[in-house]
Amino acid sequence: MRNFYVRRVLTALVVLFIVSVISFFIAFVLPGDTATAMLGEEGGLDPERYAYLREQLGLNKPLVVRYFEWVGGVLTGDFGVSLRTNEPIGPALLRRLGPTMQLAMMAMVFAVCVAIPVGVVAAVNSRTWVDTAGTLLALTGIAIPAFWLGIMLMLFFAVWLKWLPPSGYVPIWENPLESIRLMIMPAIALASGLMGVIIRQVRAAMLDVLTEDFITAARSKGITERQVILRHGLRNSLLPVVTIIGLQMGHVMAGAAALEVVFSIPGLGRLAVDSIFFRDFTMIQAIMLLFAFIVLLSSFVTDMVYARLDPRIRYD
Amino acid sequence: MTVSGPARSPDRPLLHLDDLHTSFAQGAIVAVEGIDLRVGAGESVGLVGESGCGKSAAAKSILRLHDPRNTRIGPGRILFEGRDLLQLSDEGMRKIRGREIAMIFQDPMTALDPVMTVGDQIAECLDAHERLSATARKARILELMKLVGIPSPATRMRCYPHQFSGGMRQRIMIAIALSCRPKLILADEITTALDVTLQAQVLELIRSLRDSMQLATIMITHDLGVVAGMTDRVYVMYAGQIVETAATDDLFARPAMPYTWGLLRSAPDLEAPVVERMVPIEGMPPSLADPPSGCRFAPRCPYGREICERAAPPLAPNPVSGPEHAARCWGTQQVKGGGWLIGHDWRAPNSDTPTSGKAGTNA
Repeated sequence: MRNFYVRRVLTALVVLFIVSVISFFIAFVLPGDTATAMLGEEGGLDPERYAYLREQLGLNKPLVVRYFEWVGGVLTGDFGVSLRTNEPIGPALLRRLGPTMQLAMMAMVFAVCVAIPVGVVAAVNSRTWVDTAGTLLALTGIAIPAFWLGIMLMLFFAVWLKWLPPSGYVPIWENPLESIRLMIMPAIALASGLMGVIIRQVRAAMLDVLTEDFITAARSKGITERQVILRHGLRNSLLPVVTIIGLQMGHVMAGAAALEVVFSIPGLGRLAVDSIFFRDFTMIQAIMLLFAFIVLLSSFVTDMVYARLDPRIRYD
Repeated sequence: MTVSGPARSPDRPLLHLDDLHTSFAQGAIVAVEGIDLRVGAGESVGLVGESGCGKSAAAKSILRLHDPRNTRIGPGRILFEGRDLLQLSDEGMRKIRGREIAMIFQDPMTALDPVMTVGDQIAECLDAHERLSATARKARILELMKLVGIPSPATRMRCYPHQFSGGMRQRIMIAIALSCRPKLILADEITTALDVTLQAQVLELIRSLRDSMQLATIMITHDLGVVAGMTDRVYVMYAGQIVETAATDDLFARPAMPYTWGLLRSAPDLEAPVVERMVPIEGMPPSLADPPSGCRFAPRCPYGREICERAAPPLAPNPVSGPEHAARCWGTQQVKGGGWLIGHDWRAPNSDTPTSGKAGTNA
């Protein structure tokens, strides 16, 4: 078990190193630099101000030197200063992380809570209209773009029915009820694709498991059909589903960016989009690194959950 | 070799399959066709045949374990203690499963849930039928595990199936089947997936448990060796029908019809020289979707005559043995054009078609 942890951490470090290199250098492939962005259209025409700003921002040093300066900072917890707002990046990221995590978690919970029952019911009633309805729901969820679904939900529930506030964000510790009310629509919109993927996965895994000998053997014991399906069928079907959920974490983080823009949520995704438009390179680098870290962490957690669910798996 | 117990043909058997039919795919495949089978209380019966002859399908029909969406059980009756199981609701059937009739499955590697401890899997059957306190429940699990010969049950009950060997898993399966003290156990090819030494151990275990607990058993197998030491009576199945039935002693002493002879020849005989030990039955069993119109074994039968292709023989008493010994073969029946196999020694050369009598020539 300990060997497994060590190996996992080492691979994660390699991945993080590669991500750091890519995120640092990719910024310099783009035309224009931060100084151009800061000076704006007219200011850019003044070569003297431009040169002065480049010197100030340290843009004149060789790339490799700047990379190591940056990594050194990151390792000591200093992500540098945002080129746009001049504030330290670390606290800014931390502030933006909350809304994004709330959105992602709520979406995960919605997706799992809807998809697992739907997938199970579809598999148990395979090749009936129930199964077809489940498949239709799954494919619709996968096919509809999340931002469009978000806008439609907003139109319907906020503008017409006025059941929910249209957009905005309140931290959950300030006003939990309002915070959740605000987050319901973006979370559902974000959940739809994930839900579709999980429905398909649960249905397929369940159909597979239900043909196993141990299901017939369980039935022969005289337990109820419900127990056969939930205790033996579902539990065994969840193994591949857990893997899929873990792998989808990256997609969820990416999808969150679009919905944060639609619903005016001050999260990481919107910060990333804004930073890209402004060529706030220091911020973009930090965000990319953070996203990579979150995805790695979630796949690590997935492996742990998997080991808990399947006694045959022992990491060593 | 026979087991002492109640009379061999009690008036009201514990289980009576009365002209049972089971078909799949909207009746296109008739896997079990008009079986008549009786098991007395405490009696042990063998159901023998090649793979795909319908013996497992018949056993699963008794407990209604087929997928109801593509299976039709009936016409016919499954009388258990006089009640027709086919008339029971799903809930009524659930109460029979495990408690009255239990089943042991062929492959212990796949018949246990891999993500549940064996203790929980044994307890599941208990919980389905009885209300037990936590201590009584645990005591019962330990008692069952000890009964089937699992060492240190207190620690083993918390283990998962993959931590057991094949033989130990089959013992767990047996413990599960015994947990509610059923009256009848359906043992479906329980030794097939085990190696020879384990087979003997598991059979010995079943035999001793059966005798001490007054269990009736149906041993479903393709192996006549299993039947020989374990059963009072035998039913031989071929292509969905019973083709011969007799007391076990009588079947081995005077097998009546060529299919049974073929099964006997294809069983390994350690006394015979290596080259002659086993003779397979030529050809393949017929398709159950489109069985031959005459005798179903006729296309593979080296003793066949004209009448065999023309008409299907009934299951009728064999004139050589008593009325309890019946065979579905024109060669054993005193009708016009039949009866040529009455008194024929199955080990003797086949005078009808010398080329296929190779097995007999050197015997």
